[in-house]
Amino acid sequence: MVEPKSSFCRICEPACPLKVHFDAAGRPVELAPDFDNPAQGVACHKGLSYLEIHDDPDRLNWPMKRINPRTEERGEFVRIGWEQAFEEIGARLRAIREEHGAKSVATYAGNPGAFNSTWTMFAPYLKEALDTQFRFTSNTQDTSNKMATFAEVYGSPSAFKIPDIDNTEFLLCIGTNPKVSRWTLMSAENNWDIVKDISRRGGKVRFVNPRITESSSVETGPTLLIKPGTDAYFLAAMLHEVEALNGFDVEIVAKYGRNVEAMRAFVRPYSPEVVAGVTGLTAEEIRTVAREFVDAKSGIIYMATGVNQSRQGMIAAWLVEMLQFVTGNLGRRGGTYKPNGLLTVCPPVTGIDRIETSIGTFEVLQPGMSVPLPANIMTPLIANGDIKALFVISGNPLLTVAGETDARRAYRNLDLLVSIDIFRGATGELADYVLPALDFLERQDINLVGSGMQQRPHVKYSEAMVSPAYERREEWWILSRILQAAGLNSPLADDPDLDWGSEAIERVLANKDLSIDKLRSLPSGTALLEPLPYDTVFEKCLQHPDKKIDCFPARFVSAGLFDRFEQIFAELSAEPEHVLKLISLRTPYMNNSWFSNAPKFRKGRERDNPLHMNRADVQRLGLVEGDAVTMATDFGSLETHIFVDDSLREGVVAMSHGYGQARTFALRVAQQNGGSNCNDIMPNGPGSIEPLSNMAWLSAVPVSVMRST
Amino acid sequence: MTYVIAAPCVADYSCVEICPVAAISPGPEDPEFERVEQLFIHPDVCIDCGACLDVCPVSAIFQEGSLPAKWQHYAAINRQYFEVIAL
Amino acid sequence: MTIPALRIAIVGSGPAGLYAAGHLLDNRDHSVEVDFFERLPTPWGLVRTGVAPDHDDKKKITDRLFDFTLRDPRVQFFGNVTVGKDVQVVELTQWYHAVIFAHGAGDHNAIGIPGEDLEGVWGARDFVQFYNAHPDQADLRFDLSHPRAIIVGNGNVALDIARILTADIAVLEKTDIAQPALDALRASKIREVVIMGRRDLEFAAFNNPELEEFGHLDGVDISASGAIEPPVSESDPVLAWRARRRYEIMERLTSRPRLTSNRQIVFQFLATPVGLRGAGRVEGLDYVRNRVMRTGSTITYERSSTVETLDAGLVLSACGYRGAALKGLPFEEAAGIVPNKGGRVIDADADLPGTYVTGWIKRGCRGIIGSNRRCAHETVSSLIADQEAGLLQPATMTGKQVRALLTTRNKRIVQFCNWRSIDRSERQAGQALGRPRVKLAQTDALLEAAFAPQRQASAIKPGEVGW
Repeated sequence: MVEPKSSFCRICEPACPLKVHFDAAGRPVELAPDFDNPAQGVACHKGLSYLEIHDDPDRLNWPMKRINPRTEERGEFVRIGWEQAFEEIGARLRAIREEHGAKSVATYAGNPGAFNSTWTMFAPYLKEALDTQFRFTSNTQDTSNKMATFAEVYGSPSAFKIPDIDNTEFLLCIGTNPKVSRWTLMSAENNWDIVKDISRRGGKVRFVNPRITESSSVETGPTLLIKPGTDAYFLAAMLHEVEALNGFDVEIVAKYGRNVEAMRAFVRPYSPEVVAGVTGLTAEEIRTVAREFVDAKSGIIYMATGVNQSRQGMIAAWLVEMLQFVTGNLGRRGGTYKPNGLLTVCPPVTGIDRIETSIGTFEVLQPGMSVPLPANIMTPLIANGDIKALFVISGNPLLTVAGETDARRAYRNLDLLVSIDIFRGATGELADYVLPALDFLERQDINLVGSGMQQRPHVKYSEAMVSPAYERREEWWILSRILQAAGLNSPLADDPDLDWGSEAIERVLANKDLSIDKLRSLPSGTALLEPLPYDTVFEKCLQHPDKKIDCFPARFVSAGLFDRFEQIFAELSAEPEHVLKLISLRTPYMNNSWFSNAPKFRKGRERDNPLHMNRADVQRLGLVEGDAVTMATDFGSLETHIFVDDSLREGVVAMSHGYGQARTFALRVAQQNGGSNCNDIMPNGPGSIEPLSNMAWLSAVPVSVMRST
Repeated sequence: MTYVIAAPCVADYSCVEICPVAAISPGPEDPEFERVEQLFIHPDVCIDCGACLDVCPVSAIFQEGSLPAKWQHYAAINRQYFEVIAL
Repeated sequence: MTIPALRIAIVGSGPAGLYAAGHLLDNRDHSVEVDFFERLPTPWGLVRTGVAPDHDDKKKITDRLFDFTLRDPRVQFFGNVTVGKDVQVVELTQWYHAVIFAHGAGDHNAIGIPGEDLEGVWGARDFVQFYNAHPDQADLRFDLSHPRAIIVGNGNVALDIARILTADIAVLEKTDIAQPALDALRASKIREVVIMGRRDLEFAAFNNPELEEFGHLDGVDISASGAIEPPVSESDPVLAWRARRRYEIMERLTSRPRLTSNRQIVFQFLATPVGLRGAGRVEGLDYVRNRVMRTGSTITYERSSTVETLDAGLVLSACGYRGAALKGLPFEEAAGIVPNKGGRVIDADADLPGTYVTGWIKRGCRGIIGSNRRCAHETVSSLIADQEAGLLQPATMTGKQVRALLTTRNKRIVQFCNWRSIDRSERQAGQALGRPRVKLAQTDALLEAAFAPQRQASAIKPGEVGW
């Protein structure tokens, strides 16, 4: 009898506790919720189904080398040893650096790395050792607008604060579906009662979304069906209204605010009446929400990915911060605050790197690439030859970055493409080498990424639940060995087999006088952290030299964000009726492109990725449910079929992302159930990027839909 | 709070297969499967993850608080099934 | 490197066949291709032609599941192709690695009493197919001019028919009910529908959710005669609970205040029909009442000798469906099924490798839609095991070759794209009327829609709004 062990999920941010059960041979056979975890939290079906990934017969087990030309869609791969892999990759990397310079090498790190604490800690050093400026991440597909905004408003890109859901009287969720996505930049366990409780205790929950999501119900609150991509105007009108209702906390604003007048002046023209047409909401609806927010003793506006991806994530994020701040909800019980965590410091902006490329100059915000280069420029940079070698670490940019078709063509130009992953995914299929990484059951970890953003602040440690099978290794070990083989100075030299991981974990735990041994001795490996006073937020987050909150940042002006705001407003006002906008549908059965090969999640209708459309639009376009359609943007077109979905606002269509796997030959389940990749037709290239944040435009994109013959 | 299976259920057990905590019964291996008129969700085992909701091909699953008026009593029926099979 | 696909023919495109296809497509170890052979120009089997029009919830399974199977690129649909006529069973077994028969139950049980051949006496299937626009019954006309109709048998089909016969026309007008049925019901003089069953309430054949639905019928009173006593305590707790619930529902339904203007549904429990009266046309039904006899756990029904009569102008026999024999396949007459072990067809105890059954033709006519899923899973598991054991003969034709050959035999094969044309045309006709679809019933009309030239849908121009 092997005792069950405590671990935690590393699919998304809350790091929900898991109880791992083993068979007699020590193999994990069941993942169950760990109800005993002192920090609470119940894992959801994704984490509890992770054995589908761990035990997937299509997992990558050995270093593999492509033996046919990369121009062929289907790779022919042969197993090689680690030594051969390092030798060959090292030699090619060295040659590329010699011929094209160190700057011709790029890295792309996907989202899973964020849930891998040792990778998170080592990655900056490893990438630094590569000595290249081309370091891409998935951040510019999901949330870099927030970091960019925090940098300007608070002086620190990591001035993260979370909503005090447990105590608030008013919650406005905008562009987000937390019931399905489990929140972001805010770690709350899978416990939807925390939202229902707001209504139960007499508070109000409101959703603003182009779709009535799973989150919105009679038990939580209703949805104002907003037109996609107009959230910033709704928020501007909210702020306008808050002022009209004398909702400003004059004392707080005077104490911490800077450039307050300019902010007031900016929103003054955007009354509810003015934005009504563009947002598709009535002035009265906007006014009601504003009044509810002002009248509530405490209130929160939680904005997430749907808005981030809709072209004006920075203005929206700034307005959310302003609304929280001027109403006195920043640092208030029931408002937004800075919880305790392993790392509670918010390092100030240290600089902006300007990176010259063949297609222009791009900015990266430091420290820590808090706003990285836009992933949307990878394809043109590869096509132009700026980038000659690409290392993809637990990422799938071919499918998740806009413009798959162009990327497929461009990637052929690479002299070297290496994928480090637990699968040979769509990107890996095109690679010269695919190198097997560890899944979360195979490595030790702490819950680093959500730390400082948790409803119930805690630190937990999980040992590896099972020794890595075959020749799977940690991503950082692999990259470190490649660096060495290329003659570069790996920060993890000389012996990568030293226990660097434990050392790094110990170092960060020491911040809270914790250690791996200490955590091991605690129930569920979990230490609860003392709560911090609500107003700690001012001390921790205000990192401008004058310790003020910049209400009208100069760089917003110089980057043209405000002009753009007005310009897009004019554009939307002039938009003809019935322009369809595509939004991203978050389903419980996909997590970016994770789970695309999990049989449990690809059954029945989840085999495919239809276009969800409201019945009224279906009729107006002369379509019926099930019709095969071509959906086009200015950037391309795809084939799918109509699925009638009345949860959508009229004029809004939705698809899930993570599909488009028909050419992912090593993932047999995903490949048989390919579906269409909507990212393929998303705006791409340099024009597709929000200034300052480098955010891609992946939602509220105008599309046309035509029946295919 | 939990999810509830209501009248339209046709015993397509996709929900049973995706439920991560075996809260839905009877599954196809269960001898009861042949006899029941529908499937049921154990309210005390359900972890409210919502995975069952959309795999149901006939939209028979609801959040308890969102049950249509005519099917309100299915919350009790779901619970009763587990009380009965425990006998 | 090309992996030769495992090519499977499935006869019948109802839930049984579609679930089987789904399980085949879900198998990652085999590259599978599925060709459906369907006698009608339309897929979905009983979901289209059996499920009552007011059960739109259950019909969702086509758009939410089965459509995803049928449109999978690995699947071909050959509608309007009759196995046994356009193509022989033996051919299919040669062309494919394996054939799965999922053609359901083509026959039904008679009441078995004198007078069943009278005009006005019908099988339940006739009426169900009539209101569901089945091409086989598109031309039937029912006489609904007498105030009473009797349904013999009290399974879910009986309840469906009773509902349709008494439902508010305004409700039916918003469903996909066949137009001739709607017209007939609009003119119907039926005020009372009697549902007659041999057993008592506790052991009646319908399901509780179906009974419960009677409570949602506007303007319909429910009454029950025969035994509706509280259920006798059962040793089996699940059955006892189910019986208790059934009793409570019936109590609730029958104790509601009545309106003389209402239509009636009358449950006649513990009654066995013994004959039908009438000269040429049915005029009434003779029956006897039964008494429940319990000896330990055995229950029998004792008939009284008193014959009673109910006048009626329409009598529908809903005594259950049964499978029909298909040339080239063994058949077990008594059970109305194809003899099989776990879905493998057997003949005189010898396996017929490569031939499988699933659904009603495999297990008999029982269970609900999802029961077919488990049933298909078993059959597909047997099939895959046989393939892995090397028991299946390789397919001799590619999908393209089969299609080409069928085309030479029958110019009007309804393929998936043709079905889409039918579907579009029905749905678009429905859109105008606020109905889910207006079904085409006549084979000619279906084929005309299937092969009508397609007009391009109107659409907004791409790129009107860009950067």
